[in-house]
Amino acid sequence: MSDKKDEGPLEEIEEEIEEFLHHHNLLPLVGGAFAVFFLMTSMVVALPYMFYTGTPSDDAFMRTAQEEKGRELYMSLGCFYCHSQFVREIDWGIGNVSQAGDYVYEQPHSLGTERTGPDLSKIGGMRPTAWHYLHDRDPRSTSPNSIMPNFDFLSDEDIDALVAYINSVGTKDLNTYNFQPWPPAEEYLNKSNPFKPLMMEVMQNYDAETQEFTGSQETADAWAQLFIEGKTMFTKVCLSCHGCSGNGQGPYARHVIERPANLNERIQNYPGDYYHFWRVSEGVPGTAMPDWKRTFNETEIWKINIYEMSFVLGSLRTVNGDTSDLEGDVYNNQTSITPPIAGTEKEYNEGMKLFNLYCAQCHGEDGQGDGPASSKTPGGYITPEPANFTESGGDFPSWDYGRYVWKVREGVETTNMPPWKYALTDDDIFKIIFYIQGFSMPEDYNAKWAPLYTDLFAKELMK
Amino acid sequence: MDSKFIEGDQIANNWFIFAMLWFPLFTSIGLIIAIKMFHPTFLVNAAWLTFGRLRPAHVNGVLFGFVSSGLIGAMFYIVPRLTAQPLEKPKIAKFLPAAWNISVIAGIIMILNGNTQAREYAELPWVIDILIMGTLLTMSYIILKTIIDREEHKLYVSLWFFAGIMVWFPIVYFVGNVMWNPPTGALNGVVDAIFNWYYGHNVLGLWFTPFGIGVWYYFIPRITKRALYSNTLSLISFFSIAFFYTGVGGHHLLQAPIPEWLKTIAVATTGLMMFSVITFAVNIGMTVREKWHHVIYNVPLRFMLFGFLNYIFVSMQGTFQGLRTTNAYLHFSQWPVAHSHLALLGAFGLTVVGVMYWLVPRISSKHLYSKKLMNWSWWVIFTGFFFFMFSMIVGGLVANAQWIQHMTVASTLPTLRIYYILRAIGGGTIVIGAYVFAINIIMTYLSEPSKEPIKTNIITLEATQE
Repeated sequence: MSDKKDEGPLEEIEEEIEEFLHHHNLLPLVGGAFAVFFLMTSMVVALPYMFYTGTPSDDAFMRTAQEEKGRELYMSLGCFYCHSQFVREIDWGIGNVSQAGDYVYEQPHSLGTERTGPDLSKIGGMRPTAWHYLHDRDPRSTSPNSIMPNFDFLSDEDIDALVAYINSVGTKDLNTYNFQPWPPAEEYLNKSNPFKPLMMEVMQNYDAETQEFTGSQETADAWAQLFIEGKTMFTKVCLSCHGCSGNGQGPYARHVIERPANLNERIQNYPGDYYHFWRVSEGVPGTAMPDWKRTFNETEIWKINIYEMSFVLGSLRTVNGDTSDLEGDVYNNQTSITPPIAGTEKEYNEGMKLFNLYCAQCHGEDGQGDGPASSKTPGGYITPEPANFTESGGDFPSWDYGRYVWKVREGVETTNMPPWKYALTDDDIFKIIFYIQGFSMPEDYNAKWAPLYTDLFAKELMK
Repeated sequence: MDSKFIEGDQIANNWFIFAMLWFPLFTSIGLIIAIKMFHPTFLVNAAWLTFGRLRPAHVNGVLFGFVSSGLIGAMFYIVPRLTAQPLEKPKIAKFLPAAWNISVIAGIIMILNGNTQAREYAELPWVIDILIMGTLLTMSYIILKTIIDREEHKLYVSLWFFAGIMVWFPIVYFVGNVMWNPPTGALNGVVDAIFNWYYGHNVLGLWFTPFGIGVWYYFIPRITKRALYSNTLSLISFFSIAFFYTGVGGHHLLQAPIPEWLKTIAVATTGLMMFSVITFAVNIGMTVREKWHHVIYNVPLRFMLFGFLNYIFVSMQGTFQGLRTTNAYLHFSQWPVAHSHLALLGAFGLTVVGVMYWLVPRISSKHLYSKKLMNWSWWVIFTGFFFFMFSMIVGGLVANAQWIQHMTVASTLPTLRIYYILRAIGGGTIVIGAYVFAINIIMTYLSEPSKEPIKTNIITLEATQE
């Protein structure tokens, strides 16, 4: 072999190794292997042993003698083979993500490696005590799909201990838990809304009773701009589930098992702005709520959040209603718009359906401004009060069909009336307007609106 | 047969007798607990019949009873031959198979009675740990002394692995079982989990894997009559196992609250483990090249090479699922159960079956009872294994897919039922194969010694027809 001319480096190495293996070499081989084994062992077990000790967390409890006995049973019956006891960052709806401090009183550990059954790290206090007795003796009496064995053979004393242990795990002290799960990722805890100072300033200069804003024009404009941006995004993507009033009754809501949140209630219960931000950014797993961070950047999400706050705080009207009227008049004069639809019975009925679906949650099914979300109704919260079409019908000049169209299409500044052009087609809007006009007093209707339509149905609607 | 090997061979034979008994017995327990997964009221009248007790009995019985006995037996056959040296202290060594297996069985009975340390893979109570340690250290002394006193100077690669195991496994066992802290044999909190999985994975990485590799390195070149392809590759695979395998335990705890740096070490070494796997795979693959067709008529080689391939698959799979993201998705379901069965049963268990089919007739100078039955046992086990793996891998993925959408575990159980049933059918088929294997080996032991010498080359199916 050695006299071969065209030997590559690999062959040389091979030869050296052959050489090495033919001599006394047990020590370098086994000694070397032992050395690297020892080095790695020191890193992966000795270091944690010396330096990694947790301090007890809120979910760690010293156990009573009975609970300790229950834990021994839990371990010796091998419950931990099927029930893990740690919550991961990707888990949702179990409880806080587990930390080292949760386990300081445990010996041996009971983390587990399988979820043949549910995770039990946060089960303490989560079920009535008697439930556990039923479940442990005959699991299928409380959980029809369970594949757990019946532990009916245990003595009463043993079951007492087992139940005492299970109720002592993790969430024994339910006070540290509320109905909102915590954001799993730490990064969200430090978020704050960059538009909050602006909102606070507006609130300080706003009188909700009189709907008057006394601050600077600059602030008013900045708020109006922020509000319409948030409202536009809300109308485009949130409204279909949460509804224009945020009451969770958008058209898609009837399509999902997990109902969309009523934003008025839900946001009130959020522990802070960061929480609201987390929810919109990450979505709600197991529901149709997507993780909007894929679509919107952080600033956009904050703007949506600012808009959604109006479902809790009411709208801060820095722009007075006259502005909207004026814009509508300008639009009317520029376009001289008249109803592009004839006013048939079919159009009226379609308008009714659309109105009941989208508008009635604020304006009420009979157009009195008293829908379930309206502050006129007990339990409602939309302020200022949504328009009452019977009254406001009189406000519209007969020449002003354009104002109607403008208000529906563009919304009303700094109120919860959304720019419907982002949600409905013009055809939808014309039918809805036709239906709304039917809420006017008959004399108003006959004087102002009936002449605009060509179909006999519209003309004779209020006769 | 050369007389200086007789004592070692007899001890190997004793190990094989235990392996032969435990394979059908402890896989039967596996079948019982598989039935419980879809028929939860099956055998629930006493604590020792419940899943939580039978599972550790199954795991410990298969690991330390069946597979360990088979691999240790093979080692007792191989070491004297490669060293050209009779076994050291044969009178003491004779007691090892019984001492080891009786300890394990005693431990399993204690576990069934609730006397368990309740740490996965490390359940055996402290008393048993002491007995096992004693056996292990005696075995270490005997094997290492035999290797040190060897007549053949050249150290064949199988010997490195056996010597390595004998040096590092007693330490792994002592540290992993926290033996200085009786009776719990555990530490407090998550550090205990770190120790548990250091042990749990190294039972595989520093016990079964080097045993398996030593056995494959010996038998595959010998049966195929090919020289080993490369010693360089062997050297790389040897040192990379010692270094990288030792650190991977943390990948069982990637989503648990252990230190992040430890997870990083675990993931990095899990990836680097590929060094040892690929070098080993290439080495054996190149050794067997042009002789793969031998598996058509050589059933023991078929078992061994199937075991070898499963080892490669399971290692690739292990690296793939030991990354943070894949692990977060795949953890907790039947997928990891499939993974561990692919390793322990598919790779090492079936290799033991192949080794025993090949060695038992040679050691006991008897013809195998039935070569036809041997071929049948292969097809039964192979078929069962396919459905067994399929049901757990697919069932696991189904569960994971539901969990990632945050469905609760209880609500996903009805969809998993069909996979549990399929799992029991596949597993049950393997158990039938295990009985066929055991009966074949028992009948071989009971048969009359062969008058003509056993051929030292391969056993072929053609030989049956002669």
